Amino acid sequence: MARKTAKKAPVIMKCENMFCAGCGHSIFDRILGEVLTEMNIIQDTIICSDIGCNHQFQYSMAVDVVMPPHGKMGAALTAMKRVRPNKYCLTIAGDGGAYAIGLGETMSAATRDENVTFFVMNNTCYGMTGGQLAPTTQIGQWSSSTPRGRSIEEHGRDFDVVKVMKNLDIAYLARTTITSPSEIDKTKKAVRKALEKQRDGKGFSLVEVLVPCPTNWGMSPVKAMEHIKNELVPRYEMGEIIDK
Amino acid sequence: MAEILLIKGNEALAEGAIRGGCRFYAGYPITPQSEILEWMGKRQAEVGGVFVQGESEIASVNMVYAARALGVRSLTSSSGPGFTLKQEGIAYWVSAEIPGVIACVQRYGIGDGFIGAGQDNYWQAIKGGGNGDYHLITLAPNSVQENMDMAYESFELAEKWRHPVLILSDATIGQMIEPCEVRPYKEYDKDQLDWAVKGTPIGQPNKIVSDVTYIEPIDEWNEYYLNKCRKIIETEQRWESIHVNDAEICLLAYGISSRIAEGAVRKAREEGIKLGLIRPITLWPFPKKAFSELKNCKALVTVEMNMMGQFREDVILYSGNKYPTYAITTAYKVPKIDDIIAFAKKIIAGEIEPEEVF
Repeated sequence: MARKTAKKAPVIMKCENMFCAGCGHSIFDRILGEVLTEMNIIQDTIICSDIGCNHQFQYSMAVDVVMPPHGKMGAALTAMKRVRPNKYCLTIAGDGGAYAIGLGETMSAATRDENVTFFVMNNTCYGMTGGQLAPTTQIGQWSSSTPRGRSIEEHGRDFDVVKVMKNLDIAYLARTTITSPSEIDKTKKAVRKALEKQRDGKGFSLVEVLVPCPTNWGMSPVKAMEHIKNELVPRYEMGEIIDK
Repeated sequence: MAEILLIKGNEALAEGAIRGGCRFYAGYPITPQSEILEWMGKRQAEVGGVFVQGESEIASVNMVYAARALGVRSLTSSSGPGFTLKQEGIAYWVSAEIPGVIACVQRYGIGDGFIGAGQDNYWQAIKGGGNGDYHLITLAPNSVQENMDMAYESFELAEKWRHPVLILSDATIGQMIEPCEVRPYKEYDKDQLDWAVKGTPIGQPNKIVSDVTYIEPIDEWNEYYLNKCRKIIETEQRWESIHVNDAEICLLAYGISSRIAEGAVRKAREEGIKLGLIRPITLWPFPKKAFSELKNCKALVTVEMNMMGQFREDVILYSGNKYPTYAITTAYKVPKIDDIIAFAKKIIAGEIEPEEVF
């Protein structure tokens, strides 16, 4: 049996990423980079950046980028796809950008069934600003702005994109994670499928990926992965929820 | 022979943009500018462009950011509180050097305000509006024809400087109907700009349209940006002078107020009162060169539809505070010729003094 070695980074990755050790963004960017390279669509892809940790893909990926204000990707992608319908228009969003400040734009793009793709990194906090409460922060979870932990009484219920979008007339909705090679493989398949929906003109697609934020969770990278597996995955509906 | 339409100001503005190569429009309904939105809904489909009725002004301004980033001549429009909602997005246009065009059809009032005409967006329009150091290149039409012509040329002006252009109209200009000569269609290729994002093959440098914060060495960019602004100030000042050389009292007014002020100048001259008028066509850059035409001026008077004399502050600033400067402020009412002349007579008689708020 041939010895297994680390796979060479795809051509789209032009340098080392700049994320914290153990951050899920770096793993996702690599997954997306592989899919864009394998589908041979780098030259036909324009990524709409959110603002937050997620935007740092710009420094390590050789792909065209448009960066609107924080959270406004649903609006920007709508315009991008309509003026250049032959391009793949997608975003790598944070959960704060997509579900809090940009929820209106995200939902409007989804309800119009715009032919665009959202990849939302759900790390249950605002990473770049220091781990504050996000819509996805779990009940009972510590955040830097809810030091006694999130409670329904004080902070309201958490946001679950699957509950919100599962009855919409959209092309694709999936939730995955990256806690093991097999989960990474499922994420990669979902990423590819979402982009194929866009290629085929099927409409709106969104893949939420549960990713770790060891820095703001105060955990080692390994513990952070275990936290997703043991605490987050059991609370969420996982897998492909809509596949039209 | 050119086609002449009898057309509303708002419709002329929209048609001027279409003829000028605008192939993307996004907006949200708000009186008194909704005719721009409606006209675009009809016309973009006819010319192969894109019309999006955004879910909000915030979405619309960011749609224009993105469409323009991909190379397409793009417009949004609004009024009053809707213009306020677009300010964040416009600041991003400036920082990313997006040559977008926005029309603000001014309505009167603070907060939600009213749906009738006003000129109380001046501070917001001219002094930035969003965060950071910037002015927008601001055109101030005073007729239906100018609504068309300014929209028609606005995209080239914005592209020339890679800086947004604001057309600061008002409800009266937007709602009134006048004859308007239609301009010929301009051809514009959305692929012609080097900086526009179109997708890049591996091996070539990829393009990023982004707020400057993330990509440029800031000291070099600041120097470049200030030099650009200096050049705009030097080369883009535009104004109209009416009987300014021998004016003893010089009116300053833009938009609908300038139409009334011009009437006041002509009527006053019949009575032997030497009134003149400087009508800024660009509000930024402010046409300060116009003040050099004044030879016998004893006082300046702005005529403006707000309460606090917003425009007067800039007149004091740009005239070097050399003249007593008054304001005739009429809030939501269109000024009257006789009131302007009566005000001038009071100045001549020494019956009024300039105040901070009129």
